Amino acid sequence: MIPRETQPLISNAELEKILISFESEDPSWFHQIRQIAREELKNNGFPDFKTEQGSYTPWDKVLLPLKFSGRPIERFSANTDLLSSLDWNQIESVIGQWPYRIVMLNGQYSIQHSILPSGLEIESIRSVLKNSLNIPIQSMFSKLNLKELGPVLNLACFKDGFYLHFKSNQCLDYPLVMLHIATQAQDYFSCSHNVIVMDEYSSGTILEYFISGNEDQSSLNSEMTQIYLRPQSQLAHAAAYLNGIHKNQWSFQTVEQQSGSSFSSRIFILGGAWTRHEQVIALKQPQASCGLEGLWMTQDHQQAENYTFIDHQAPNCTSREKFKGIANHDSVGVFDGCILVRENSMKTDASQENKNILLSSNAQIYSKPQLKIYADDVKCSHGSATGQLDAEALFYLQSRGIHPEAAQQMLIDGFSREIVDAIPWPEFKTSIWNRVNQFYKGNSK
Amino acid sequence: MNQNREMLAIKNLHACINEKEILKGIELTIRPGEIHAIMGPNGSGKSTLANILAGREYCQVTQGSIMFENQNVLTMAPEERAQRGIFLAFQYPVEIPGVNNAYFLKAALNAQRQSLHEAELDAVDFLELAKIKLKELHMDESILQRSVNEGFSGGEKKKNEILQLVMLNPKLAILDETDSGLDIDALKIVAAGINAWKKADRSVLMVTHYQRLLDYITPDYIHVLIQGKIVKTGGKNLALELEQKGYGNLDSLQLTAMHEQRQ
Ligand SMILES: Nc1ncnc2c1ncn2[C@@H]1O[C@H](COP(=O)(O)OP(=O)(O)OP(=O)(O)O)[C@@H](O)[C@H]1O
Ligand SMILES: [Mg+2]
Repeated sequence: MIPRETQPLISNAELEKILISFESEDPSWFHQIRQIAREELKNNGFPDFKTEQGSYTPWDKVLLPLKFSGRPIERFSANTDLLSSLDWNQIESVIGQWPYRIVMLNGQYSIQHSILPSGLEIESIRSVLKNSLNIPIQSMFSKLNLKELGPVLNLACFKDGFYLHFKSNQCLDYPLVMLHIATQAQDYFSCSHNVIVMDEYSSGTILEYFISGNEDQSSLNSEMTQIYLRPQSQLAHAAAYLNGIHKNQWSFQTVEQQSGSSFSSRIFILGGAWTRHEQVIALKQPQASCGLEGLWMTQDHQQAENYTFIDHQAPNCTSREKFKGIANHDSVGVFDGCILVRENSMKTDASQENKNILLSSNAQIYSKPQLKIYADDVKCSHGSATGQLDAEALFYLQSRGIHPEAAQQMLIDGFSREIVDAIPWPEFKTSIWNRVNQFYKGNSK
Repeated sequence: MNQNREMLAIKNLHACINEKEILKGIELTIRPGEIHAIMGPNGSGKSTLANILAGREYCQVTQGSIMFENQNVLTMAPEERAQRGIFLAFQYPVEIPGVNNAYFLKAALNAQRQSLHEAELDAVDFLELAKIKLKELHMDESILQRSVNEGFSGGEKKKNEILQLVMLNPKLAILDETDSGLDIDALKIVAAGINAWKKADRSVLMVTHYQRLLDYITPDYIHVLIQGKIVKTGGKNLALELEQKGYGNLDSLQLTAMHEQRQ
């Protein structure tokens, strides 16, 4: 990729203003980490970090909302009109009815809309940071890699988020829904940071929905989640990005897995202007397993990016990855997946699959699978293919009287089915199918 | 039934694939109720003709005309041809992963009904109809819930084509080597299915290499296609003759055809 030698999109003076607007009262141990992140931001120029990971991203559009972040965002969450204007019937028609939910409104926790399961420890991350007795949280933050723009920006700016703690043997009976709603007529930037800790033998499901209207102004939400899975714990996670056409979303997830733990993830990017989902998974102890699946569909000028990094650090761990993407019109899709198998990780079983479909000659798909294997006696496979809809299949459908547009939609549904049908929660599956079925509109350009 | 009415009229049809002329002046007329068979050596252009009738784009028509019920077929999109009653049973049916066979069949059926301004079939009515047809073809109902042709055996694929035929109830069925890949019993069942579908005004154009299909579906005419031209047309006994003597003795005819063409 060509490095861009242009003016930084956000000058240091502007950056300074942004950082001041995100000033918060940090405990001293955290203040140090925050400072490192802020220095990193200033020193590296913004946003041109020298990593390859940003090379596909239209930074000028994505970061524009940052310039407006001087506005105090609390003002919005205090706006009762905004809260009462939410149409819950409409929201529930998208996400289904669930007994538990955490609602984030423009990046801020909205307690009056949230329904929390009893017995589960949920706290504001701000108050957890202030609790100096919570030593593990200090080491969790101090071990973060502060070299990439995603986590650096998040750590430099976030004010709040959740701390979620599953105690040993605790099993959540229903999925915990995290609903991120952006409902804003003005540009804004919001930023939140979450920590999820699952103790031995606990299990739970977290379903995230990102929804917003097609409002005129753009926004950027940065969400970072650190997940710790202790021995034999199980977490199932899914995220549906169903944002409106001006919303930029940057999610960054780190997962640390101990022995026998399992993590499943399903990422659906079916909306938004720009959506980037990054996952860094460390399989730190034997018999840990993770399964990542994803489906993205972009059209017009949308962009969807999936980054995965699976770090096999221990023997006998398993990882599965399957990502599929469809790009129409002038849209862009990215899959960048790296599997690292370290020296002592014998009997690693890893597979990665990426399949994409280009519906238009103006659309772009970048697929970058990487396998780095430094151990013997491992089973690793990967495959990547990008092509067009099968012309033979299209003709077959047409020759049975089916209109070409309907035929294309059928093939798109067929391509997606493998990922969508595997969703174990019927309501979630329905909301994804509803989006997928409506994807194809008009002839591809 | 008006015996003089033409259902399909192909006149002086020339067609190319990648600039190579494959069909070199086909003349063929099919009237309602008639069964025509086309035989001929591998690569002679039989499937090309079948695909052109269905609207396949890779075959370019350079000369001639095709009329179906007095309408110009060549300007119609493939789906329109299907909706008007032209059906091609593929020599190699296409596998379509992730597309449910029942969903596909129902969509096809309703697309056709829509074009005829008939009410769409709902899931219940569709299933009822499908079950009757499946039974007639001795097919297992489970085939409805599989992806279209995916992982089907060769015979299952051919049967699935005939299932579509009897469900969609076209006016003209073009069967491209529907018999190949079918075992002896399956051939009888499929032939019975086709015969049950074929009413007085329905026509068939079938491509085959073997007499055995013709034992069950008796053709009114047999045409021999060699190097893109119909070099001989005869009655149902022509197949037996060909089976004994091969296409070799038609070489002279073929040479004459080529000679004529040059002149
Ligand atoms: N898609 C294609 N691209 C290039 N050439 C083709 C294509 N399809 C057919 N041909 C060529 O056209 C000629 C006629 O092929 P066609 O399939 O019509 O033969 P056929 O009579 O059906 O043969 P068979 O009995 O083997 O099925 C052959 O030489 C074939 O190689
Ligand atoms: Mg053929």
